[in-house]
Amino acid sequence: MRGRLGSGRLVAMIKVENLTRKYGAFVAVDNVSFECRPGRVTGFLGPNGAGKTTTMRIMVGLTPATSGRVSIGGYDFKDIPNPGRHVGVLLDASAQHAGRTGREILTIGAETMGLPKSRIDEMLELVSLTPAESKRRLKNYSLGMKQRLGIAHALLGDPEVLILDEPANGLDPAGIRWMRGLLKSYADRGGTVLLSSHLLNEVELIADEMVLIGNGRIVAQGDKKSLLANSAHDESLVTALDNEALATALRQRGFSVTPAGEGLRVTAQPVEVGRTAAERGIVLTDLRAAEGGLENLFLELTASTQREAPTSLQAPTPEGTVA
Amino acid sequence: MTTSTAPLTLDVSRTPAVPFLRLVRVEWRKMTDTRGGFWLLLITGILVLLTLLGVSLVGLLSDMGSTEIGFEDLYLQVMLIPVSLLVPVFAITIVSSEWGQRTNMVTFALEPSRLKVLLAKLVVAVLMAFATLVVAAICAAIANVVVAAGQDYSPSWSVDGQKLFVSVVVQVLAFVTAFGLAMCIISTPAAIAVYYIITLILPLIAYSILYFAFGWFRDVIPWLDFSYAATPFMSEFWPNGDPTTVDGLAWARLASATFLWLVVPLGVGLSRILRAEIK
Ligand SMILES: Nc1ncnc2c1ncn2[C@@H]1O[C@H](COP(=O)(O)OP(=O)(O)OP(=O)(O)O)[C@@H](O)[C@H]1O
Ligand SMILES: [Mg+2]
Repeated sequence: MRGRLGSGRLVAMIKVENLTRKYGAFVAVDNVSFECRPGRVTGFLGPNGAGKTTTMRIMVGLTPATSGRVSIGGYDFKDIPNPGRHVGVLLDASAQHAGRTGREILTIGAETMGLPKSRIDEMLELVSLTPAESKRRLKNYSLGMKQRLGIAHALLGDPEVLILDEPANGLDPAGIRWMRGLLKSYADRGGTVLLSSHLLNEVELIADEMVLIGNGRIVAQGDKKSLLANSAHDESLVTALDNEALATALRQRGFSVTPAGEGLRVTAQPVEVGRTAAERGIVLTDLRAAEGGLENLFLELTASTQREAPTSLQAPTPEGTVA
Repeated sequence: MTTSTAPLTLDVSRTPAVPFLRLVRVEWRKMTDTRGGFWLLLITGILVLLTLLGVSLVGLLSDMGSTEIGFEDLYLQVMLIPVSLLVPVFAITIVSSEWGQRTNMVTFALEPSRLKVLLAKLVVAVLMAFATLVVAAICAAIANVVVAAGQDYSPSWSVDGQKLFVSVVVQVLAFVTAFGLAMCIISTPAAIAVYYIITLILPLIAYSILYFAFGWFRDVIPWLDFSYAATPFMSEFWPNGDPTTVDGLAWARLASATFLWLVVPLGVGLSRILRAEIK
């Protein structure tokens, strides 16, 4: 791979600066800025309609920005000569001619980029599509096979940068693990990866860095640890020999306590809980920060943009009856 | 995020821009590698063969031995018809199928210059037009030899240069018009429908009736319809029997029809696609 990096890990390969895209009065992407560094997998996370795809389409010149700019390796995407050799793009794995075979789709890509035919077989092998499968038409591909073909297409030109929209969509757990391995080793060789998802679990598994977007706006970014550190995770799970006594003591100090499994969930940091227990001489058998901090954070940060699920799905009222 | 220094720069020295001829080759491949393309070619091939067989048989069996038929008539009057009927659809789908199948996202991610991609496609459409002309000429030559041999006269190869030139222009223009309409309309079925309404159905049904019914229509239509504008260059008579003349007026009408069906669709379509959001 070209563009391998030694020490300079803090330089940005992708720079998105104050990007805004409006559709009439509706702001789909609102003053978005973030950076992606070589050697890292950056996850672009947000609920449906948050503006991930729009941002990525702007990045590769398919959608004009209303304002702001994107540079990839110092270039505007449209100014990169033979961009497939530098930036691998997968925006929608189904956006290929349904009547072409997987091999034909890769052949067209390879021919455009001026790559040898051998590259096609290499890529097919890399994404575990068998020769027989590569001769099937795309319309007969499963979702996961389309996704693999899309990844193969993005990697054809041996690019330094990958921009992937929902690449794990449709992959089974083994497929997600495979993708994680693939992208990790790609990043370890100095590649820069930006991938989007609306599923926290996926991104958590694959990405080193995260950019959280909701309602077109960036709500948080950083690596997983710093994200958690920044969000004051003031919930603890605690189990004591005498849960009753501990609950009473904690309530006296103004924390709210609810039973959780064997123990209690407390709206206090573990250090506060431990202090209270020590003062009262209560023996703890387990004390930790409440799990799902990242998930809570995600839901919290994007709360205003979540699509509310109906509280209950009601059976239709039989006709003629009066409700 | 972090304290960022100057952005990293891609080394693009070893990847020159995609050469235009490579784009043309890829676009030709994309036009012919699908089932739709295959059937279109197959049906056109069958049409051409049937026409060749038919005209040869009729020529051989006819008892009008004294009226000799030559290459010019076989080419212009007979063999150009089967290659003009369906093939312009290629010039439509080469544009519209990118939207219908949403391959445009991949195409323009590999070559962000939309103008370059569209020019490559236009070149492919024009190449296709020339290919149909060559096929028609070869078939006309075969029929010419066969009929002349069967009727026992030596085949005539004389061709009027002006007629030949205009026939080439008409054929190429048909493809470019189809291409331009496809860029304006984008939807494959709608573009095909509009193309055939303009080039086939209106002239056959409406124009021919109006032409004989109204004097003003006879004055107006050569400015608007390309085949009427080309009539003075192709034939000695207008459909109503008036003699034609190749004069300044004839050229002005040809220019007007060309502008209407070449420049306008191309211009409108190009500006539309260059500014569109690709999704
Ligand atoms: N052409 C358009 N006109 C109007 N609104 C648009 C247009 N394109 C996108 N939008 C809106 O912009 C918002 C962002 O869409 P986008 O596809 O970027 O979301 P996303 O984050 O990719 O969501 P998902 O996870 O569902 O893929 C949506 O509300 C969408 O309806
Ligand atoms: Mg999306």
